[in-house]
Amino acid sequence: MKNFTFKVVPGPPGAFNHLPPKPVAPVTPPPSQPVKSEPFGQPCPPPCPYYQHQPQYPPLQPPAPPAAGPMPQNPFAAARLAHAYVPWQYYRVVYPPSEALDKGTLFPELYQPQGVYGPCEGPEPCRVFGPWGGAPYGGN
Amino acid sequence: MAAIDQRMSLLRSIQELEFTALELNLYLDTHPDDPQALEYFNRTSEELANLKMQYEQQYGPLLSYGFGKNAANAKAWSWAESPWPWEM
Repeated sequence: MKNFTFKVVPGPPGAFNHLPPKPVAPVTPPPSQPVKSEPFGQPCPPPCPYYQHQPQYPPLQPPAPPAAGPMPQNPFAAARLAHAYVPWQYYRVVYPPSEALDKGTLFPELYQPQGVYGPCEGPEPCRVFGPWGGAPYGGN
Repeated sequence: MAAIDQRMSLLRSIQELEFTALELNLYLDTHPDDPQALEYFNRTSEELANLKMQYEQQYGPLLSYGFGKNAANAKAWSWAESPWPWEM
């Protein structure tokens, strides 16, 4: 069977723009047309029914500035944002069969004992916070 | 009591080897060219087949509905004769 899995290897930041920019055709402005300011092309009579209830949106908030100081070193710094990334697995050491069945995996690098996913995993009931239920991730 | 312990120990070995074979199966799905894992899978599945054959000869079929063999020395249908998992 051919290997059909999807593998993404992160490159250095900014290295993905390896193609030269495409030549951009000069944009000719379309012939100007009269701007229809009213729907259906009809001017609105003085007690105008349209635009009376325009939704009022709050002003856009600028994004928060980055925290001062150097960025913390993380091992995925080279990975691009918004790309799912699964490290490739290599065959190294495996558990003996009896230990593998007890731990739920054959591979030590995939072993995650109870508790690392937060308080709500497993058969133990979750401590409930607030009327909506649930619990904060990583709480007790 | 010792007989049931022996039987449970053999069943446990079969479960362990089956789990190992399944894990290697999943690994080999994405790493079909890994010779080390393939060799371990072949050894595991061979040993698993041996243990299953030994269990079925001693204690009766592990599976029914056409997957397991009726015990060769049994004159009658042996599937319903062995204890259920919750009886062991």
